[in-house]
Amino acid sequence: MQPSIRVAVVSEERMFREALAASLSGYEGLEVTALPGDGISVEGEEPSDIVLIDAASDFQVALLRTWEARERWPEAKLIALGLDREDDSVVDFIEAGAQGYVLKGASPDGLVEVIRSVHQGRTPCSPGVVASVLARIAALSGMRPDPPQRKVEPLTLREREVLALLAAGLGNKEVGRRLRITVQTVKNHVHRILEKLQVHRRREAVRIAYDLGLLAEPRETAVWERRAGGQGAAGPFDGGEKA
Amino acid sequence: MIDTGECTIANPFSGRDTASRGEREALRLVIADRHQLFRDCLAAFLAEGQRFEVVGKVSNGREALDRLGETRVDILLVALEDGSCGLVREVEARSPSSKVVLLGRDDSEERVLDCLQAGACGYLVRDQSLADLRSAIEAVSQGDTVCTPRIAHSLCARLARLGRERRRRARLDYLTLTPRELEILSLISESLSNQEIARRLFLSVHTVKNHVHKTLETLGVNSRWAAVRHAVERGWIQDRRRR
Repeated sequence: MQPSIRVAVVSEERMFREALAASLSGYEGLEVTALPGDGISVEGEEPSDIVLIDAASDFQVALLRTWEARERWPEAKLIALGLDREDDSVVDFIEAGAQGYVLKGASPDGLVEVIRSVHQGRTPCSPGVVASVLARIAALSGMRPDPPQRKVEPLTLREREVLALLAAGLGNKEVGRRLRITVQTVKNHVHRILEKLQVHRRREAVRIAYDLGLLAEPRETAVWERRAGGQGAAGPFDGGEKA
Repeated sequence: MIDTGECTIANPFSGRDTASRGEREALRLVIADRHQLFRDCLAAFLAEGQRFEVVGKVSNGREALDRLGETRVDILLVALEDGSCGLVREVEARSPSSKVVLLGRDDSEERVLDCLQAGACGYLVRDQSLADLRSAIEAVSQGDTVCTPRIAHSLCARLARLGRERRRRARLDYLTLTPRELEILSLISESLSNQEIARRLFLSVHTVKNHVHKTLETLGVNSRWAAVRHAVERGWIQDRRRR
């Protein structure tokens, strides 16, 4: 027998989550594994194959949840639920990582059908949506310059630490305090970093560093919150001491 | 679904479109396929309903192109071959109003995506029914793009990759704000007033106002809530508005 398709449901509304879960667990070959109420990641949870995202309420929130879901379940396929019509909003969700969508009027049977086909690598899609997806691909391909492949002198460990703190938005004084060095030393490091990366401003240095992979990408949700550290997450935003 | 017969389409726009083309005026097709028996049978089938008129039966894309110079062609139904991508571009250059629908054997190929991106309006596989083919041609004639669910899946994945890149850039735009400005924005999102922010950060209200003013200017928005929304959408600060 084939293993069940593991489904997670993301919605702000508890009642919707639970109703959906109850309905889906009545189908053979489906298993509801997670019902997170918000975007905050839970350690050690089971992986999911399909993540259903409630897109029926606030559009921007749902889009944000899609981005978060993609980071949280990188292997899973996402499906946006409850869209009003097949317009550009569908394309927005696909851009955010959705591999399928279901309109508001769909029945549970219809949803399950979409879940099964997306799981097999098929996206049921109206001809209009396909055309819009292609148009969006063309628009985005045009605006993407490839990241610069410049050769840079390698940074020292200390310089990387300083850079990570700059990326987290700290000023010289704060960087000095965290690394227990004087402001003048920080300035020297910054000067060397700018020189090595061939840029004039620290902001550009951070951007180039991301492009070149010298810094780990900021994680989805809240660049700013990570400055404070304390959440124990990996990445550049808590590169210093632990508060 | 799409009505292949007379003009009984509910949508007023497509209705007008069909009317302007005239009910008697059939879609003019060229069929290009190496297999003569197949293209003859296909042509006979499509010609039945008077909706389509087959104005060319040729054995490959090159010959289909030649037909373009001789008569008006609405749709080119062409077997997928190595040069299909070039053919699509050539048709676009010679006769922009003509649309290419490709017919392939399976839908696992990367080059199908390239053809669609080059401007092909449809991709079907020989596994599909003639009814599918007919409604696909009909949809294509109305400006939509038709493909198999598997191809749609790959297109979604392609758009998602581009979307991730765009998202990444938008997220790094937090670098356009200073650390102080981000910190204040984060406090605004917690519904703090300027006075409260000033007290919290040991600044004068005047300074806080200056920071807020500068932030709005940098982001090109005209209210503090618009600024918070801007930041939340890009993942700079956490969404505290709904919790």
